[in-house]
Amino acid sequence: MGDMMRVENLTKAFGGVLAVKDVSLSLNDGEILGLIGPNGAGKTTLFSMIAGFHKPTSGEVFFKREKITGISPNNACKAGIARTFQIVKPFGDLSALENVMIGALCRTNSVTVARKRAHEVLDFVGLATKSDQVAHKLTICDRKRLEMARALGTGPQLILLDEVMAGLNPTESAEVAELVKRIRDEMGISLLVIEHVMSVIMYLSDRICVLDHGELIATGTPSEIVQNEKVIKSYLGVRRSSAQNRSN
Amino acid sequence: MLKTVLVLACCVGILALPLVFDGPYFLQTMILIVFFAYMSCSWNILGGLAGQVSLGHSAFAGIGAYTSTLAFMYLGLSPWFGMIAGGLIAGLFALGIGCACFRLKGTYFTLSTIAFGAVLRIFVLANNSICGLQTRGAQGLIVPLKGNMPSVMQFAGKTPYYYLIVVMTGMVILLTIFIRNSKVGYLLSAIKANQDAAASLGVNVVAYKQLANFTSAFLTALGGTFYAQFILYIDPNRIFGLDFALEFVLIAIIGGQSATLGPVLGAFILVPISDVVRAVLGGTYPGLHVALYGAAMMAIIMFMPQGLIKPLGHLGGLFAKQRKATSTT
Repeated sequence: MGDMMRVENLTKAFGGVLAVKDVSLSLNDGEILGLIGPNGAGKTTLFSMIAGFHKPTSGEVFFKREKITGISPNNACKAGIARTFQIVKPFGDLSALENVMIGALCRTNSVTVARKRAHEVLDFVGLATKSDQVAHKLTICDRKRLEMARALGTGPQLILLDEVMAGLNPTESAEVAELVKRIRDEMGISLLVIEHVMSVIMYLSDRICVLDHGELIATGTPSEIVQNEKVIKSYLGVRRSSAQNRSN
Repeated sequence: MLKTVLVLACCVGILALPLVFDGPYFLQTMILIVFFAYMSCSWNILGGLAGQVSLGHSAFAGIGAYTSTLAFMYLGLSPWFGMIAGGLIAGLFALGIGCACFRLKGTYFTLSTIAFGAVLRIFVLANNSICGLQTRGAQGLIVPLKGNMPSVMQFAGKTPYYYLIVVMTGMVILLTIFIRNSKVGYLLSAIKANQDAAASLGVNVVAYKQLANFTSAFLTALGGTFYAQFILYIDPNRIFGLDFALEFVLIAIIGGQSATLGPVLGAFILVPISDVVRAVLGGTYPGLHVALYGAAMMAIIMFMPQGLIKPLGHLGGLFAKQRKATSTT
């Protein structure tokens, strides 16, 4: 037990716009941390800074107690941080298997080893029967699974999931939520999850952080968050009683 | 099994060709076809495998041709070694362009390669000497004639040139197959599909693009030396020209960039067509051959964006299926 990832006073300015303002949060080993907030709150920007896609204007990012601020995306992945994209970016012309192999090649130089690893991962996410299908022919739900499989293929210790449930129907998102839980429970991987579907985030998260206008306005367990006045006002926008009902 | 037999038959056919047909015009055309297949395959390592379209590859051919020829004239260095030197210099130039452009996405790289080719062409045309060596500007360079001397890559008759370029092309094809089946090939295909996603999976995008870039420029420069030794004259307008670079690109696109043998197929179709069209129409209607050539190209790009090798591949698949069906019944 200890901290897996920590950000301190992280700020990102795009010109005059402060997308993320002085955010500090930490994620424990084996934890699923939810990240919620209205559109434009800076959730994806925060993700991108942790995964090395944006350099923070100020503040620091620590991964396993080591400072990784401003690391490149490929080195972040090598260090053990994998991310998925809100708009899935499969390698369309490649098969599902090859997509995952590219992730697995992050840890090995052998194509054979990578192929074996990719089969295991596809099996884990439930795409074993579709391994030879070309990625752009997969259904949206399968493409989301593939996105997670690719991230898993890189052998990460922390996965950043950016709205994997978006565009899925309730049955599919329940399945994907179950998969996220299994990633933590069976593989011991910590997760930072951006999500808009409240039932899913309440079910999955050990703790939840709420961003609004780039600022962290609340952190706490799901039941604390749904009762937080600030969160209700800025994001949930519902009466307390119905919010509690949702969480149950 | 069928595939191995076909490949072997093709190899034997290509190697035996000069023994059966030995007319100089025929051999000349064959050498040019295989030469363009070689150049296009070399271009394809960067353009097809890594998806980085360069329109300035003629510059690397020019660097190869000039380096080996100048080294031969002034240092007495055999073009066999000069071509390696030319390859390395071309590779360094390519790395320089990559350094400036590969951090950016989009068409910057393509635009820079056009500019590089154009600048180099004008530089060579405008200067009579480069680094104190006589390059004679627009007059071009004549490779000193030594007669039949294999040690300086000069042969009597065309047959040895044919075998030389066939071997070079064979080596590039084998290299391409090797890359495709290795880690590098997989990572390049990821970079081609989506750079951000590739980076998020731990791929050092810039480094792998540079690797493909260097390899491609190196091989293209070797082709430039071959061209100089075969023609025995370097025309700077031709060898640094955009037309020359476009030919490598179009052959690859029309043949099929995503297949290893796509550029070879493209060369076997396009080089004879352009030759015949030019010969038949070039005298009576100047310029018409270019228009026809262009129209054919547009048709192929519109209706077969994967290149001509794709439908051929389907044809092959069809045969395979039929064979299976007949064998089971």
